[in-house]
Amino acid sequence: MKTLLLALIMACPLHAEVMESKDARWAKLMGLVGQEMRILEAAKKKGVEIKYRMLELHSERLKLIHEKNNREFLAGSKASGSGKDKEKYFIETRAYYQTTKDFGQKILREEARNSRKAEILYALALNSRDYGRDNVTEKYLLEVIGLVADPRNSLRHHAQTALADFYYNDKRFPEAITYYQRVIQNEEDDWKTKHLFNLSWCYLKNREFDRAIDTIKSSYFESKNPAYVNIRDQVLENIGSFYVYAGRPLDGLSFYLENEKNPLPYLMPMALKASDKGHEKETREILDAAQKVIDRSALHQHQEELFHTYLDFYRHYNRFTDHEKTSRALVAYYQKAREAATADKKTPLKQELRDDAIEKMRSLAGFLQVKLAKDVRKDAANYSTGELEIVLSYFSHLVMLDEVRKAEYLYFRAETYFSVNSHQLAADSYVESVGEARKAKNLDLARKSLNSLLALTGQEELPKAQNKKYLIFAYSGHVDLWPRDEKSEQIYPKLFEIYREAFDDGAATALIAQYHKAYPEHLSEQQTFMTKILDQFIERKNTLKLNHWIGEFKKGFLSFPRESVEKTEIVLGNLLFMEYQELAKKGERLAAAKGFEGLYVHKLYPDKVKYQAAFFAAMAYLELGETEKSFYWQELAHARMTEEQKLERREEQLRMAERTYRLQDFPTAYKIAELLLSKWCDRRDEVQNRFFEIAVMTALVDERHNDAERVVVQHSRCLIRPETRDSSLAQIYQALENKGDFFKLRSFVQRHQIEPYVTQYRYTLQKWYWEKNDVNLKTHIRAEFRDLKHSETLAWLAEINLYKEAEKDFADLKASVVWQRPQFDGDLFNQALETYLLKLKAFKERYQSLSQSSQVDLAIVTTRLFSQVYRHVGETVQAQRPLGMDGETLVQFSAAMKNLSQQFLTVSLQYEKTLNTALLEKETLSWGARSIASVEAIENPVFSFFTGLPMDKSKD
Amino acid sequence: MNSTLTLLILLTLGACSSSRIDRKIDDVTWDSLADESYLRWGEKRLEKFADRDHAVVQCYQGKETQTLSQYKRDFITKGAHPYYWLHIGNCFYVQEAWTRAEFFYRMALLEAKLPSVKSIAHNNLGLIAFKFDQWEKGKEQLRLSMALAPRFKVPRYNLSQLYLQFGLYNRAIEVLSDSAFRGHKDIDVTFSFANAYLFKGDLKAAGEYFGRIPREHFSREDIAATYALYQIRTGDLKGARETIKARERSNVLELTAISQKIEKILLQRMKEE
Repeated sequence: MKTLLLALIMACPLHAEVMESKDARWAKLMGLVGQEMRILEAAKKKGVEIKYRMLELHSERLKLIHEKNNREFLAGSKASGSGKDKEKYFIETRAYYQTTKDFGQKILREEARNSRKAEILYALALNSRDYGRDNVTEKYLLEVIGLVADPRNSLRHHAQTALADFYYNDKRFPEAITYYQRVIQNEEDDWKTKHLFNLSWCYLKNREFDRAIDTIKSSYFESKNPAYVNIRDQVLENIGSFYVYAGRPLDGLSFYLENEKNPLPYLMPMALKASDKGHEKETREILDAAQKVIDRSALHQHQEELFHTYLDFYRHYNRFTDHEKTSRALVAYYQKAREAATADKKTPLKQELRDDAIEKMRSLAGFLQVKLAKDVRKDAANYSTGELEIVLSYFSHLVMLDEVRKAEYLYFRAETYFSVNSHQLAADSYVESVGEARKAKNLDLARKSLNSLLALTGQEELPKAQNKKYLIFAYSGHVDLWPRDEKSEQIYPKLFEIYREAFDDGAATALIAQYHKAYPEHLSEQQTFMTKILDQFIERKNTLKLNHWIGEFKKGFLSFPRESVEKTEIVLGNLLFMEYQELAKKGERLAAAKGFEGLYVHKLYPDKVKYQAAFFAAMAYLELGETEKSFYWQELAHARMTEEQKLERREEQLRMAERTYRLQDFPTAYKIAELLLSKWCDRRDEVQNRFFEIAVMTALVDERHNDAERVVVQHSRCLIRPETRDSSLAQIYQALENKGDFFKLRSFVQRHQIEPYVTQYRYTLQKWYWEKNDVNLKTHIRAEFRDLKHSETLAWLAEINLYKEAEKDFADLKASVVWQRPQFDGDLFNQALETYLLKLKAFKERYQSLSQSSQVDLAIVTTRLFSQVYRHVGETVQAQRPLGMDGETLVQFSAAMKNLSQQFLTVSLQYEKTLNTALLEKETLSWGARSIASVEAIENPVFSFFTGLPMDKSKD
Repeated sequence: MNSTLTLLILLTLGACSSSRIDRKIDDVTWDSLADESYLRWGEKRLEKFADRDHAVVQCYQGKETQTLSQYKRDFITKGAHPYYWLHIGNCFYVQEAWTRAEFFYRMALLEAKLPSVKSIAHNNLGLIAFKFDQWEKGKEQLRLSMALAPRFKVPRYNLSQLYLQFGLYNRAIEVLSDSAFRGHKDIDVTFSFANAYLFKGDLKAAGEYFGRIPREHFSREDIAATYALYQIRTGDLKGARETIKARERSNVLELTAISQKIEKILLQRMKEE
């Protein structure tokens, strides 16, 4: 805008100045004419001279008016863009012409003796020629000639010249020749050369060629005479044609070569003329001669034109091969010229006709293209391959020459190939054309090329794969250039199908994205497309791609519903894991585990896949017997699971916990069970029940009684079957009993005072009391019996104490002496014996009940004690040998004592027998039974340890 | 000083104490239970059969940890083997990890289909019960074992040992007299007979059985102590002294105490003479 304004500012004064000067000059002249006219009109007596002068002034004014009208016409034509209504602009001219003519005729009428009559007629003739429409020029001029008889009179010469020109212009050449022949006789006419020139033309027109050549040559040579106007250029421009018309083009060539240093500007027009006139051979000679001149005289400024002349020549004679060769040379020339211009602006290598060259080549290429198409239509197999080559070459030349329209030429080339059924080449060219059109932002041409390519692929002439390639190109090009377009809307689904069928998921998904961007309203269809691609990923197990798209869906791509994304995630997981699951199946479990680990650590995968990977790794490790690692991976899996997924996996983890303890890892099995027991406590179902059992059981196997008990205390509410709690407590009780830890057992029972182990506890303590050797333990048990305040334990405690007294009494009894006086006294002895036996009676009465005690061990040891007591008493009685007794009495006494002792020994044996029978019958396995077995008061060495054997196998 | 020394000795004994003595038998002809139990297999026998027989053999060679790990790894392939759980239990048994051993014996019982395997499991569970002083329960397990596989010798032998433990010598003799043992020679069976007869007071029969035991086995402390008692009872105090002197001392505290008692008695008796 600034530039335009500046141009206007700069231009306006100048333009105004020019206009002003023209108008001013015109006005000045008009003023001068008017001024003189007013002076002459003012003259009271007007003679012929004044009137003639006034005619001249009128003629001058007529000229000025015409000049003005002409300017107005030009301006009006320029404004309207046409030259119509021309006469309207010259009304004033015509009117003033008539005025002038009337004025002249009036003079002629008024002045009978008029010395200026010839001049007046001459003026009227010229006015008529230049401004009138009355065709009186010839008439007036002839009258002038008739009036002026003197051949040397200049008016006569001017009249003849004007008349010759008139005839010449009126194509009345013989008359013109007559007058020009007279005119050229006047050696003093500066314009003789011109008249010769005009005369030569008249001869030519009159087909007097040799005379024409001679005359024009005269004009050429006379022009060298400074006395005459030099019209050499005009002559040179025309003489070539004269020779041609005369059928002597080579003479013309000679003329130029002989007379002109640089004949080139004239040789080429002459050549063209010669060509036009059918002098093919001669034309070629002329052109070749011209080329020689250029080469010889380094007149390179003419080279461009010469090439063009050649082209015209060849085109004229349909010499297409030559034309193409010259075009090729011309292209090379222009390249050279361009390079030269870049290097040096003053290069003689012109490029002025570049556009013309383009047009010539386009024209010929177009012509041949149409011809080829016609030929092919007639007979597909019968067309000129040479012509095809030429056409293609032209397009190549044009691409070089006219880079701006490169795409267009590529398109033409494609069309050419297509017209001769060269489908493959056509397709490639269309592709090129589209590329260029896109570069040049020529969308119309791009569309044209793409449509042509589509039409070509529609014919299915190319091999299938190729055809598909071009179809894809056309479709994709179309949707790229016009994403939202009626045709593109139809293309998206078709192109998608092609990509899908070709398993080109990258292109297919990109297309879906593109389609979605252009047509968001077709979301449902786009989702369907995407699903099809996902199906392919699944089919081909392309997990990386699936994973990528899950990520995209999560970011919102195609607004897939959450359920669909989750389904895809599941599928992805399955695919990812399939490979490693196969490995695991084949027994390569470590490799499988490592594979799953790899999936877990892969940063791209979603949580769902990671959790599954971790979970599968856990399973693989479990199969390897690597229970701790398995649990580690279970924990990692848990960290990435949703609550729902954790619940889904619960039963599997139950089986894993079971497998874990079967694999000897009780602490880990405990951890799994305890973890899930806590986690899903509220579900209270069979699974939770089982976790509870496992937790308790595994803790007990590891002798972690506190943990087992804690599980019962904290998680019994998780059980669906409450009886499990009781059986678990019973297990803990049993484990503590097996352990033999009095304090733990006591505190456990104190915390859980429920049957059956409250009762069992009493019996356990009783068993321990008799079996264990630990004195402190026995003390604690007695205290516990007391503290339990149970009738049974209190009774047992009393019995234990009683037995202690029995043992003490037995010791006393053993220490008792029946008779030890120096002199035997029967009464006193009887009293002493009675006293001794009363002790036995008292012992029996006091302790007999102990042999019936519910404490089996106590009953056994008591019975054994009684046996010992009686045996001791029997042996003591039998052993009595009072001092101071004669021999006969002693014999009788001993017999009596033996009888008496025998009763006690029998009782002793009976106790022993009863005991043995009872033990044997009942197979009593109690401490009591063991404690009575001894040799030499030494217990059986086999009691030291149990010598039983574990079994490993059977003989079978 | 004396009391300090005694305490040190007791502590040392305690630290090394074990309920086991070396009962390995290298001469297979004196191991009539060899077909059912590896426990008494001598090193040579174990070495010889380690490769071709069960992996559990290695547990008896002191490689319990490694063997148990191997069982873990073999779970998938060998888990269904009838002896799989039993042998894991036995490895833990060798480790004296009674609760674990019991667990796997119960697993074996649960999963076993063959009566012979169930019988073995019951036998071993019986032993575990004995470890916990659950004599009646243990006896019941042995009875179940014998009922399922009447020709098995080990459950009977174990039952005989239980009877010996509780002074039920006739029962022990009765069980050991079963036809299952007929025609076989076995150190422990023969010794059990001798012991039972001795403690029930039948010195003659006891003497007969002691006479069948190869001399080299009299160095075993339990046999030595029992035989010494027999010799004392038969008045062979000198022989008893030699027997007890030649014993290989076990680390079983109770047995050591008995041996010491015997030594004491011998000293006293010989003084009296």
